[in-house]
Amino acid sequence: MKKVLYIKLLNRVVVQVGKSVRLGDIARLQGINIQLDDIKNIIVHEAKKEDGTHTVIDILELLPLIQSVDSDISFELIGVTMCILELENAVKKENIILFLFVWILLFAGSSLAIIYFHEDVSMQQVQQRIYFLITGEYHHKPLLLQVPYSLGLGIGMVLFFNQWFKTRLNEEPSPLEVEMFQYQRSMDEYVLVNENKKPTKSVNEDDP
Amino acid sequence: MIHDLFVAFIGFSGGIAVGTGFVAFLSVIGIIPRLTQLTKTIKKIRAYEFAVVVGALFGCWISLRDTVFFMPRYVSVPIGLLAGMFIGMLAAALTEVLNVFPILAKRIGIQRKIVYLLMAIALGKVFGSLFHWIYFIE
Repeated sequence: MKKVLYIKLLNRVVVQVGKSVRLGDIARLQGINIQLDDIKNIIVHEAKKEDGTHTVIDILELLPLIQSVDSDISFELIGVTMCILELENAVKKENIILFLFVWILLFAGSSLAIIYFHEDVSMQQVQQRIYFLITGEYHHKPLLLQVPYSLGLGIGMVLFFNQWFKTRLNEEPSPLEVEMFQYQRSMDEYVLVNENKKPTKSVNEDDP
Repeated sequence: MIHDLFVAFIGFSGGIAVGTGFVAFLSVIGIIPRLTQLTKTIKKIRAYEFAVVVGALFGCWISLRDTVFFMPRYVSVPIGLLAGMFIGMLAAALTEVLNVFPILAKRIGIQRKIVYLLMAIALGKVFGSLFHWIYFIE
């Protein structure tokens, strides 16, 4: 009987420092005439602190390991050929002070930025003019136009991001989530190319 | 006569340059795709294009002529709201904002709280705008 093992590596897996990574964790396996449990339990990597933040597992490193369990397996590879292990320290604390600082920074910065924008495009004159041509009377501070405008500014941003605090307005992914996904993917690609050159040393400057 | 033709020609070329630039700007910003995605009205995209063109022409007319509508003051409330929403979406869509966030979230390791940072920006814009109109201008 012919023994065939189908391997589909996952793109990225987050592992805790100090744990050993098994083949079953980093790949989906399917086999014909094979005891899958033995193969799933093969230890492919020990997550150590010295690994840095990312380690790349190449499919070529895995094949001898599988072969040592059962030597007459033939392989069918599906999907990617490399898997990224992202190391995570067991205790990952979120710094609340840092968070508050960033929050205030963004708040102050964006309010300043909108004032710069208004001044830059002479919004005051334009709104005085619009107020005049709607009503026919001149107003130095047309707040009846400007206060709804300010509220609309917030509504427009929330609509665009499709999110009001935790509540989603719609099932679809927001532009920010797409952007985060793309950023993550470019990072992964970078790691795949660069970790392969120096397998033991982290080239990523992003260490927390 | 030749002089008039020349002036008309200059005006026309200026209009074409500004019009194409405006359309290019709108397409790059991507507000219209986002709105069709939110409202699930992809098929109505021609109507939206038409709305943008008519809106631009209308704005062009009222800013270059001295038309006055003499409407009640409260008409300016919905107009202000709509204008604000459009500018808000414009500000949110600027790619700088979108590009900064993933990096920021990675650096300080708060990917789960990123929504609150978004709210910081949105509320900051509202606050800054109100501050500008009510206190900043004498």
